[in-house]
Amino acid sequence: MIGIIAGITLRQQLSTGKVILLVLLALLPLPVAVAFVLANSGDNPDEFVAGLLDRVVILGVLPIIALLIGTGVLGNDVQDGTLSYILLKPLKRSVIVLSKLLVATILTAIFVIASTIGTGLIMSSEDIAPRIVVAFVVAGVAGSLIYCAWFVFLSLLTGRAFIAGLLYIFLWEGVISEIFRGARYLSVRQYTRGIADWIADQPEDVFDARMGAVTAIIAATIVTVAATWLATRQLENFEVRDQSA
Amino acid sequence: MTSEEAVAVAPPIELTKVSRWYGDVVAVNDVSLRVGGGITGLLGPNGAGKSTILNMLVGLLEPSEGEVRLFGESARRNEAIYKRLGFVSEREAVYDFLSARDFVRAMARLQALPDPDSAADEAIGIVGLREAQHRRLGEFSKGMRQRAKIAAGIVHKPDLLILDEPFTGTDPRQRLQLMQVLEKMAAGGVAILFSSHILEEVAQVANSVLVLVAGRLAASGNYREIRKLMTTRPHTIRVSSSDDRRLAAHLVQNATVSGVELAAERLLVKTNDLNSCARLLPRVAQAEGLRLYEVVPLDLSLESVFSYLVDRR
Repeated sequence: MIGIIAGITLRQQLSTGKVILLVLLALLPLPVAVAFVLANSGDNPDEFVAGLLDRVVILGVLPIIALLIGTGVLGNDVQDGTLSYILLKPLKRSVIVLSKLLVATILTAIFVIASTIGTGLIMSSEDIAPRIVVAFVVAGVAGSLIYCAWFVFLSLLTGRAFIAGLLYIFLWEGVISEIFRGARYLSVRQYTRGIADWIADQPEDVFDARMGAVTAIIAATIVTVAATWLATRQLENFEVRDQSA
Repeated sequence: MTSEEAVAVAPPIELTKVSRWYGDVVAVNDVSLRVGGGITGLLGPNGAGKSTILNMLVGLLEPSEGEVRLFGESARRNEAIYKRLGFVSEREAVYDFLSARDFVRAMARLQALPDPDSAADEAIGIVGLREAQHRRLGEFSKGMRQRAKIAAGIVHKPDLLILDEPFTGTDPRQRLQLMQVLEKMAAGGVAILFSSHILEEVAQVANSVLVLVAGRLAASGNYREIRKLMTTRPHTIRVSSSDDRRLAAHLVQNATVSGVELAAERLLVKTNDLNSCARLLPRVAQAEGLRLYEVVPLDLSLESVFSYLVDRR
């Protein structure tokens, strides 16, 4: 069943003009990497690539792509009414949520991996530590799963999931969790950075996340499982939003 | 009787004192009804609460009060019921990128049918889409999409098929085809409930009718009985003639006319039998040498018919 729903969802996502926007987002760090190579400034390339992948991919590309895809895989079905084709079937709601989450995660991860590896390939001429790129690839995949679980849940919670997601990324993660230490425990960005830091294993001046690996992995697991469970509950209690009698 | 036996003999649809409101707006108000086999039409003007009732039936809405049962069970949070239930939504959205065949086959697979290909073949054949089955749904006309949606709704051979405004946007030929599909399915033992705001659609295909007005069940039963109620209700006809006063004097002598009212430059004729009165008017005018300038029935809108039925209760 997961395969059927995932297949339809994948084609739904790829049949929209959104793909062009996703490709453009994934390309964002590449010109910066090219500029660094051409400038030959003598800066530490490890520090530069870690900073670029952190500030552009983890802080920007990953959450925005996850937001676009995560809020769409179920949210679009709710909006256009096609959800009834899968909802009115003898299927467990958890199967529907997991199928949608699987597609959202894979699609998001593909763009994030491409963005990260592309940056790494351009920077490879600068003799960077390959471990840094590997760390951001793994963290990017983990971040794709956590963000998508969260955004899939948001799309079932509100009809304005995209705006709510933008507020989460820019206000909560971008401002509040930077100011208040406690808010970091509810920041997917911080979990992703924590995982990247753990795998990259670089000196503090190259890359340093503000969350330890154990904390990041535990918090990420709790948030992902909780969001998926809540999304399933939300779907079990789903009501059509069209109130035209 | 055990609970399993009770479920086995339960009617396909049963609503008991069901209400549904959105904030202060009451969409469905204390509706109780039962639907058995055959084809039942849920008739009512736009905004009467038809879609709300259908959405509650299929488990997409929770009643604010009362109980909704399909075969003795609630459809809400009961996925197993969808093996016996097919639903065709009013919303036009389909997976535009799929061919009709892939769409129906995907629905068969989601129903976990043992042979989804054969099931899809059969459903596509029933709705007459065999020739167009490999075309993308995005290229289909509204009527063809509707047939594809019906094929998807019947691919698992449900015991109960619910359709929300299935004839909307279809041309007369497509409508006739869809009606034939429903009749064929009903003959095969499927209980069918469909909503419509057009009396003629219901008249053509439904054995029994439920009339819903402003969220309340205004009438239910055999179509002919309801039709009779509708045609024998009081009507008002606005008449303008060369001598309204003389025409009125002759009309009141006829039993078909229940009353007349002379207003400024027009005559209002009240009758309980619209058809007989329509025949009477030119006959009287001709006999008296009067000229008729205008004959307009004032309350033929479906809404006024429905209002009468509600007031009658």
